[in-house]
Amino acid sequence: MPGPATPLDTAFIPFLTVAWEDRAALRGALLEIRAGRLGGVVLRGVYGPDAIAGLNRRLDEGGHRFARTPLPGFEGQPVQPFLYGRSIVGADPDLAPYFDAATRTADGLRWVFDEAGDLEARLQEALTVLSDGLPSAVPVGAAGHPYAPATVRELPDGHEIGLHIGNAFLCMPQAQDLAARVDVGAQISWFLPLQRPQAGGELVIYDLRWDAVKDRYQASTDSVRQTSRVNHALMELLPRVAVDPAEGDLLIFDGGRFFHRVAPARGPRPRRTVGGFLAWRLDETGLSYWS
Amino acid sequence: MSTSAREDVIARAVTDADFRARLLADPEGTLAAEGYDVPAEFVAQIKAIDPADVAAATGSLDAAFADRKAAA
Repeated sequence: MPGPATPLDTAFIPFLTVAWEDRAALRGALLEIRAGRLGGVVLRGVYGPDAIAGLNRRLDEGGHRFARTPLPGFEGQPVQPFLYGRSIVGADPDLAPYFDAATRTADGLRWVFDEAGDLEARLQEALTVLSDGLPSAVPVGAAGHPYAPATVRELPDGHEIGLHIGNAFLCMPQAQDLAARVDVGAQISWFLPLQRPQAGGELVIYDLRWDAVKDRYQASTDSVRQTSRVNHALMELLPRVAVDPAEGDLLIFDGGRFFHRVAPARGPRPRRTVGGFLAWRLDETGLSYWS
Repeated sequence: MSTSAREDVIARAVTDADFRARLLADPEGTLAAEGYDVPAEFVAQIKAIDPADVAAATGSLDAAFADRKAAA
């Protein structure tokens, strides 16, 4: 018998939290997120402490298996936030380099998660419950190349992920191949912390929705894509919430609809998460996930 | 002022550089000229933003925010 889903204290973006073994309590929760009635879910303990320690060891040993790419805007800096793998968000519209890296990323993730339990299998298991029975897989591009299932993001001391909103991806030229396959205008974000920093690194979600900005956003050349600190300061005038899942927890939230950022990580231990995005296939027969 | 009106002002400010510049330079005049009926508290919050020095305002979570932090 699954335990009850526990609500977090989030007035504008309700979350539900359950232990991994009680995930059946969240059956259909993705449908609620898609409808805008639920902000997100946290599945606690998808990987336990021993598994997480092993995953970090494997990542330290096997980082060379991935195409390591700096987060956009940090190229050339001596200490960079970076990805193990290459995200479609920062990719060139010519997707060939992205797909080359995607194959390495999928192989690298399989190796890293080999002992702890395959990441894609665990994610698919969660998504089947949360979608009330739909299958899920990475989408396959026009040339037959699969997208990357996820990337690992590493934020060193003082670094952050700036203000952004997932549905803005639809405005990017590199999204067009994916937009022919999945509903990228209603995407959902997910991540699983592998290593929390000593302080900071929280996911900050603001009460500002895509519908409030999408017309101007699509027309604007000076958009929040530039993640200026003036925009950050303005956003601080809105209701907001910080969510800080534990290592091994899976957070799935409506990052397509709500503006969000990751606060600066603090301390010598970098923030390390594995994550990506997901959305319904256009034919509604299942879900796709990618990074 | 309703939450949606506040959201409207911020949504426009973060996506419209001209409006943002005018809002930060003259909050009262700009909001009045654009038809926003706003309380003094909101104007004061906008006035407190120094575009040249906003890093400290966003680099860490303040105490009030930390109280509202939802431990997942």
